Amino acid sequence: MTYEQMQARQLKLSLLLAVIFVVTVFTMPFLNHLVPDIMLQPVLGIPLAWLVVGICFHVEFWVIAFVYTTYSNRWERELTDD
Amino acid sequence: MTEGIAILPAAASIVVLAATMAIGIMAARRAQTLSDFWVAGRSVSVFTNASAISSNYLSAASFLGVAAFVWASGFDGVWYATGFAAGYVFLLLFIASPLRRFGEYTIPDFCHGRFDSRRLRRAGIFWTFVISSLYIIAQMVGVGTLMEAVTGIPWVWGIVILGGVIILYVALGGMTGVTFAQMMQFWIMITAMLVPLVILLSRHGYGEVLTYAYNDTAPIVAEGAPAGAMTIEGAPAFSPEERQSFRNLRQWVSPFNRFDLWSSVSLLVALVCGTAGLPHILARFYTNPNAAAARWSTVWVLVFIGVFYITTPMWGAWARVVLGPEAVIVNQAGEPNQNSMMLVTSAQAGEWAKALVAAGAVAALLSTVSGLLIALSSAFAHDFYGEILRPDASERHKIIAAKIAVVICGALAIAAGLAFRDANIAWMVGLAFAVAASTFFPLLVCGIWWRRMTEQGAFAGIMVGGMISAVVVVGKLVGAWSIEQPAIISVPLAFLAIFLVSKATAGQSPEVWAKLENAFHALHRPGSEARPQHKPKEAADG
Repeated sequence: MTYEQMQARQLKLSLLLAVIFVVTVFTMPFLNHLVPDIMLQPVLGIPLAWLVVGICFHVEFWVIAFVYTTYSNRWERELTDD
Repeated sequence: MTEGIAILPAAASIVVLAATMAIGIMAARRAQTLSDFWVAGRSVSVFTNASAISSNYLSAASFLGVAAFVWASGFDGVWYATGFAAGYVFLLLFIASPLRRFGEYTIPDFCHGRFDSRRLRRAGIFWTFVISSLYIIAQMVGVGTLMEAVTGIPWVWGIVILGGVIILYVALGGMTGVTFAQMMQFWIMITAMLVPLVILLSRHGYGEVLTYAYNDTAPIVAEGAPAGAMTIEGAPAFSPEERQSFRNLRQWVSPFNRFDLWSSVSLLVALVCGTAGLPHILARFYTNPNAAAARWSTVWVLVFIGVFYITTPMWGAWARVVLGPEAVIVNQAGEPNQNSMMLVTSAQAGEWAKALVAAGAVAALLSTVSGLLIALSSAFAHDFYGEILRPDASERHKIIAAKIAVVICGALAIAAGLAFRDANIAWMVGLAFAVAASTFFPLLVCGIWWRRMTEQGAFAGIMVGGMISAVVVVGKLVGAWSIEQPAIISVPLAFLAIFLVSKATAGQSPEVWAKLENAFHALHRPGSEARPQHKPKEAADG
């Protein structure tokens, strides 16, 4: 694998994760606007909107960050080890 | 708290100040070279840098203000809190590691190095100055207000004492001292956030608190709650109607109390793009030894500030439901002071908890102002003096220039803080984010990922983005239109300017393209972290 191919692979992963991030995060205000009653249903004792934005989004960011970093660093190591 | 100095919180603040000074003095011996002064010798570990980036980012406004925002506005405060953390996702995916690999000292260095352009360095200095000045003045005004609320020290003295301490330890230890101080400050902040909250939640759990919100019942009145006692001169802090509205928890828990649909969206755009364009945050990524460490640092930043912003809404919700309108004190003007919310609430767990929160607030102030002071003075001492005015000055002279710049910028920040007492802090910080989002964010994203970008395109983008955000703000101030958030207009236009001008000027000579390509590869090629032209001995890094 050349370094250009590796960089393209990294960029593809970044873009995929960015799309997941943008879609999930920006859907939220629209859901609150369109189906407010569902978003206020208690789940685990916490209103759904609070649970999703206040806790689940953070977990999503952690997963995105972890996946990106693990793979990007691994691909770079493979390239420099060759 | 209006009747003199609060002993315990004041003592806790002094402990934080003393510990910070001690770290600054110890670091002074380690900060010998220019690289030590600006980028802590590029030897900062992932854990240390992640702690330092987190406390650099979390200002006292985040520490006390966001929880109070949740208390006041419910869900919209939660949205705001999560938006601050979301900013790091784009920063990680598109900017952190290539920027570190490029490996200079400052963002104007990137502007110059990537496009081989002196005028871009000057533009970078100018916008660093605008963004960091807005931010540091807002923080300085906040220093006075907070020190008064937290410890009872008079407003002027709060600014002078804290400002003086910051100037001293930044000038002594540079980025090396700031890094270790910021790491310590972060762990003070997170302790101050978590420990009192655990005690509070053991009295009334989060689920219990939020269940009350559904039942539309009166707030739980905690045993020994200071029912109205926190107002000065016996005057009630809220009118009877306002007190009644505190009981409408169903309304409070619902979205759109503060923002409507579109301002929720544009707020997030500004936070996501703005975080990735703040010079004082970006500079911290240069302190990691290599690009892989810069990535892991960002992962841990997301975890650290994530824990922080998961707990802030818990504070706000607990205070709203258990204490209701009694969660704040009123200031001399008779208005409820939202910054006092966490202090009043923490007192429910004991006086020691209040002292801990005071220590956390002081740590948050110190860390953010010191990071901003480094960014501001590096624009003058490194970029202006060291690169434009006297590129051939000796390292010793450059270090002296750096220290002088720290003292002058710090003194000006103190003066500005004293002069702008009535400035709208939230508006100034919002503006700093908007300008960062419209100038450095498009320049960095395109400069890092678009091979065919030209120097002319970069210059057009940074100027168009910055100028349009200024025009939008001025237009709003004079009442020409009602657009509050310039980022939603200026960010796309900055990208458009970069694209159109780069396309129009694509006919560059092969030598120019070769230079641009070289700089582009330096951003992406693994193992190219070491850039020997500045400091040969760093070639061993990475």
